[in-house]
Amino acid sequence: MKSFLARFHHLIKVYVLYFIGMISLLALFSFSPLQDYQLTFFLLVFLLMLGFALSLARFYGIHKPDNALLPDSNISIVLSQLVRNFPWGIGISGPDGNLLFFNEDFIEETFHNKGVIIEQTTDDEKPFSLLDTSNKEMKSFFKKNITARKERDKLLIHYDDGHVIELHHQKLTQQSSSHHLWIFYDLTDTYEVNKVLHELSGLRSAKFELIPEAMASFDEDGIFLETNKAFRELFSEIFPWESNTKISCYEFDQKLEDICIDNCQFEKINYSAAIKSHRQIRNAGDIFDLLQFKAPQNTVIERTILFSDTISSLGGIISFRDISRQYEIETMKSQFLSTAAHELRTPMANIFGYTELLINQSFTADKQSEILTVIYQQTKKLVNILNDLLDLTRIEARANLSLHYSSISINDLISTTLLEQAPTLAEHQVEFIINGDVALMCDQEKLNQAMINVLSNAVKYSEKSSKIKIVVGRLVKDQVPGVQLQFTDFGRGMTRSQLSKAFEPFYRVDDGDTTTGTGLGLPITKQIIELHNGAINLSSLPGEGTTVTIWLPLQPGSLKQKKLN
Amino acid sequence: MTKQKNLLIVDDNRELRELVRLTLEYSDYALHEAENADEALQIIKAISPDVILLDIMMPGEMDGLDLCRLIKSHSKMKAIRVIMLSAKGQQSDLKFGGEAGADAYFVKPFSPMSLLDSINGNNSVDWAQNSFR
Repeated sequence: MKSFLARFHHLIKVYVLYFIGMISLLALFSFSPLQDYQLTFFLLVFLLMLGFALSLARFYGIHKPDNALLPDSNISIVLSQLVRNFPWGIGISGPDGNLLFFNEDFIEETFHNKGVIIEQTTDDEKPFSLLDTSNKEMKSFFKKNITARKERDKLLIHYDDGHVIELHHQKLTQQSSSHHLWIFYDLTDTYEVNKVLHELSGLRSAKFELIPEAMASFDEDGIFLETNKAFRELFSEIFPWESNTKISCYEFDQKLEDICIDNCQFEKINYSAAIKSHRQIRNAGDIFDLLQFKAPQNTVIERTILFSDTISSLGGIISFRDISRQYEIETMKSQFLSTAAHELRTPMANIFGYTELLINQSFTADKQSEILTVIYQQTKKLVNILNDLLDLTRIEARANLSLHYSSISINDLISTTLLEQAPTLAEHQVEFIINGDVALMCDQEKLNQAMINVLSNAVKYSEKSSKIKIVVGRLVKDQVPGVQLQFTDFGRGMTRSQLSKAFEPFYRVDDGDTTTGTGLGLPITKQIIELHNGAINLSSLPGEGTTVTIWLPLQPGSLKQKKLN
Repeated sequence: MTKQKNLLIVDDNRELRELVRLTLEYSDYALHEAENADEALQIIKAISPDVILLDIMMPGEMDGLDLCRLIKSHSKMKAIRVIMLSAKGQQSDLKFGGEAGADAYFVKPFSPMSLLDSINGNNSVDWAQNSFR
């Protein structure tokens, strides 16, 4: 409506100008030498009619104006509606530089200062100054905020307050007098989301790379997509991961199997025996294929392949984990349990068997008493084994902290033990030599137990009235001050193979006397010494005797500190 | 009363050998004892026993299963009835015993009366069913 009135006003102005022109011409002709009033009048009327027609034509849009886009009323209404409802900031400026159409977002983006620009990027290499615009507001906007402009269509602006704007600019025709279209996209939200996604994917990659398990992903055709550091290191000899050649995981698996078969031939074991276990777990479209196998260098490896239906772009993930230690512990545990059960069954067999005989057969009073003595002794043995077993597991489960440390002179410690064990040692000659007394930080009760075990072995495996020699002296080991205790007996000694098994639970040097000893004494002693950060060694010669050498640090914590330093 | 048959117990546990001796007191069997497989082989050669009670875990190079295999693979000895008497009581242990050719397997602790039945050839208790496992 406004536009119509403006044009009507313009029309009136045109007519006023025509009339002034006509009157001027009429005055000119009145004084002209032609004196042909009729012709002059017709000429004037013709010019008047022509001007009137041209004005009307212009008013109704029949006449083509200078600017093709100068809107008529209908287009104008449609355009203003469109612009108003446009979801982003939009503006159309005329060739004269004035904004013809714009919405609120456009005003906001142009005039509201969003902060300092920290980065601008363009898609186009071709330099183009947005200052080419003749629009005053846009010019001031660019002058104020934007320092680098080299794009034709698109300019990306990062503000220091986190806002990201993409400005699209287009000339609507190729003519110099073209209208300009400006669109502002606020990409702040999109950028935030992208940033988070990018960070997440970076984090995932870093995690994948640094995970201690050897892992690799492969596509639907089995071609490796991504391998992590541990994976590349573990299999560096099988495949040159550095080169960009595509490697199939099936090819890889085959090569791995070949290596394992080679290893089995080398170690002379059956390949099927090298496979410890193989199972598949299905879970909602995913298949886990778990294989535990014996690999070279005495390692046990668990290989897991996840074939996934849920991760559509992925064929699967393969991972390798060294479970040698876990396997070793499990094997040791089950061996220990089975040996313990075996050791318990032997005295039980006697108790059970003799009792059944007593119930079912008749014996003389003497025989009965004899049988009951055996039952009593076997029961005692059973209790001893149980106590030692509990001791051993308790000590094994115990952390350093739960030892009750106190300071005692090494002389007092050994003298106390010798005094306590006097009845056991009564039939032997004990020689105790101490080269300089020293204070020791230790759990007295535990060390006492350890020394009793060593002494009782010395008594058990040597002749009555033979000598047991104890030599104690200071000894610095690996720069740690400590004390060394040597217990030497002059008994039957041990062979090399017996010596190698001496610290194994339940191992006993066979002496035909099965009623004494549980075979747990030395393992318990070793545990106690090691809890003190000390060391225990055995040396022995068959027929000549055995020496147990124990070294203890004066401050049990000092070794740990040294390692840390 | 003179005993008609010979039985050899091979076990390193003295008390257990004594238990078997008492168990057999009123039976038809004369008892011979060995502490390990080597001793056992000498006695087998000397007296050719009718029944052998055999422990598995024993000192020496040869264990009970080795000895059992040796006996059962020897044409002159394979008729001897071999009864394993062991603290090893897992299913796999029983299987190994069977594979070695043992005629019966008793897991310690065992019932001396059931053992006597087995020695006398009653097979109903042979495979450790009556043992306290």
